[in-house]
Amino acid sequence: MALSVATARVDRRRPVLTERRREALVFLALVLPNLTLLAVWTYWPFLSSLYLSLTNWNLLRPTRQFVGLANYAAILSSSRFWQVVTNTVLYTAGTLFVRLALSLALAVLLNQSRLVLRALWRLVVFSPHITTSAAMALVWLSVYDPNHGPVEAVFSALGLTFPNVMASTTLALPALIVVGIWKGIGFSTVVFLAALQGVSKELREAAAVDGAGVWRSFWHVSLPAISPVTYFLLVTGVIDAFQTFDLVAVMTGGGPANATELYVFYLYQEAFHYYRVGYASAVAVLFLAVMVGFTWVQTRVARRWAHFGDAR
Amino acid sequence: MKPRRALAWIGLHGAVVLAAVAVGFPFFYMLTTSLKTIAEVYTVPLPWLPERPEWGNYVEAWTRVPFGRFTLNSVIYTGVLTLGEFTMGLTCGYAFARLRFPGRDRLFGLMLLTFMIPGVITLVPRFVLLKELGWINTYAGLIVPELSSIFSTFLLREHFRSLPQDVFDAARIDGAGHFRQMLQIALPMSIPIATTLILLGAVAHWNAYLWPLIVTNTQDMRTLPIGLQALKYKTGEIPQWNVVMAGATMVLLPLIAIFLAAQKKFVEGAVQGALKG
Repeated sequence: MALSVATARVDRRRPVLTERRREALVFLALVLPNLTLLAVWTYWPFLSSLYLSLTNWNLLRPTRQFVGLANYAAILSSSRFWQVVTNTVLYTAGTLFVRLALSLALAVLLNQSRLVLRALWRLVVFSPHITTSAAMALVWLSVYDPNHGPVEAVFSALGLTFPNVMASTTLALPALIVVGIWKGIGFSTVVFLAALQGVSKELREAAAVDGAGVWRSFWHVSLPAISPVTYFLLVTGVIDAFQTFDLVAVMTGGGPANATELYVFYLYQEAFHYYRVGYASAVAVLFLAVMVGFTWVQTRVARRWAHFGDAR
Repeated sequence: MKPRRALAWIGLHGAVVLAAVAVGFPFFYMLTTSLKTIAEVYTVPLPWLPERPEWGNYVEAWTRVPFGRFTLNSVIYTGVLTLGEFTMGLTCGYAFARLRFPGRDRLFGLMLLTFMIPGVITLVPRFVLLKELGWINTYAGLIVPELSSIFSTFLLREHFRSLPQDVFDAARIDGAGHFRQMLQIALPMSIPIATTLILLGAVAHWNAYLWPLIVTNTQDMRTLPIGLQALKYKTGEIPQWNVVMAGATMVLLPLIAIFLAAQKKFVEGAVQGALKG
């Protein structure tokens, strides 16, 4: 009110810093730094990647030429690329499904009212989530040591031999999967637990009144009730697993014989080891396409799931 | 207690304890190995506990590689980036929540789209840009590209929108401008969510591996997760696991301290993200 009196008294021919305009200026001042950073370091690189993927640029050579879709053709016909994709899909499936199953079971156990020291167990189970992957990867390397590690010690106490998993083309990826499960189980357990605790008591009591036993109550009441959360964990789990890098870089370097080479590590090698920047950009664009496609598919599936979740 | 109930109780706790031991074992192994002599590390059968705690491993981890320098780099990277990112989220979130601007919501929607761009596709062009700016292997190169914030902006905007209008009106009548309103009204009313964001951000940045690996190329600029790898070999071929474990423990120490002090925050952060999303 005081402001409108002031502006009314100002000569209308002079530019007036109205309250609206001042607010707009403040808005810009607050928003431009972040938007500028985004534009320069995220938007533009995204567009630049699309362009670079159409060139044959190698950082060791000063010139680059436009080669159209040649990179994509080379990638899609490279058997190494398909091995990387297979590895990544196997790794994702292996970590995700086992982890979610285990953490759901664990969450059910932790949800039992007769459990004591719940906070302690939750703390322990959650702790791998906050650790430095690159550091724990070293710990796991030592755990897997075939001659002097603890797993080997247990195996030989049982009269078995523990194979050198890190040097085995068949066992190395499963060994990484175990580490992946270990790292992520805390997050999904804690989330499942919160979801289970949120399943309304009325629902479960109604099921009990209807004569449903523990198992049926779980399968037909609790599980559908937490399906949005299960769905969320699945989606984020896939996106997460696809971007695994630290474990591969520290534990195996992609070996043995590319058996553990996962997608982002492959991209890293092409871009920063061989400096095949054009080729690597195409690899990145394909990755983006898969992620976007996956996100698109999941939003459509989500709509159908949500209906099932609501149906009583 | 009836025998069946007692059995169920034992079964439940047995299973849970087993799970906790399985998950916690790598930590136990890391700590005990960090205090063994190199001879004990390579003794067969493996001794589960060291005879005497070999604290010298920690000293060696600190001195054999420039561990202090790695720590400094990690502290600078984590500290500046976490605070900077939060500030971006604060200013941007507040502006989108409480200030009027033509096309504001469409602009916000556009910004949200960036959320869909996975970091992977920005790596190469960022590297090229850093090279042209001469920012490779510098703090600026490490920090500036990562400084922008979408997640914090999004969360803080939601939070600010939920704050009651009358508090701001009262402040405005008292003559407070927008900056004052943001810092003296909005921010103090956001301590819980701000704390969660800062904690989660700090942990994520402390643990970053791929990005610092790309930007830095000399040992004196490396951060801890990368520098730690250098502890594996001394001279000769056998891995120095005891020293490596000591180094790893030191890298995890700040995280464990924060985690123990604020565990509820981490759990809440994980849950809120999942249950809202």
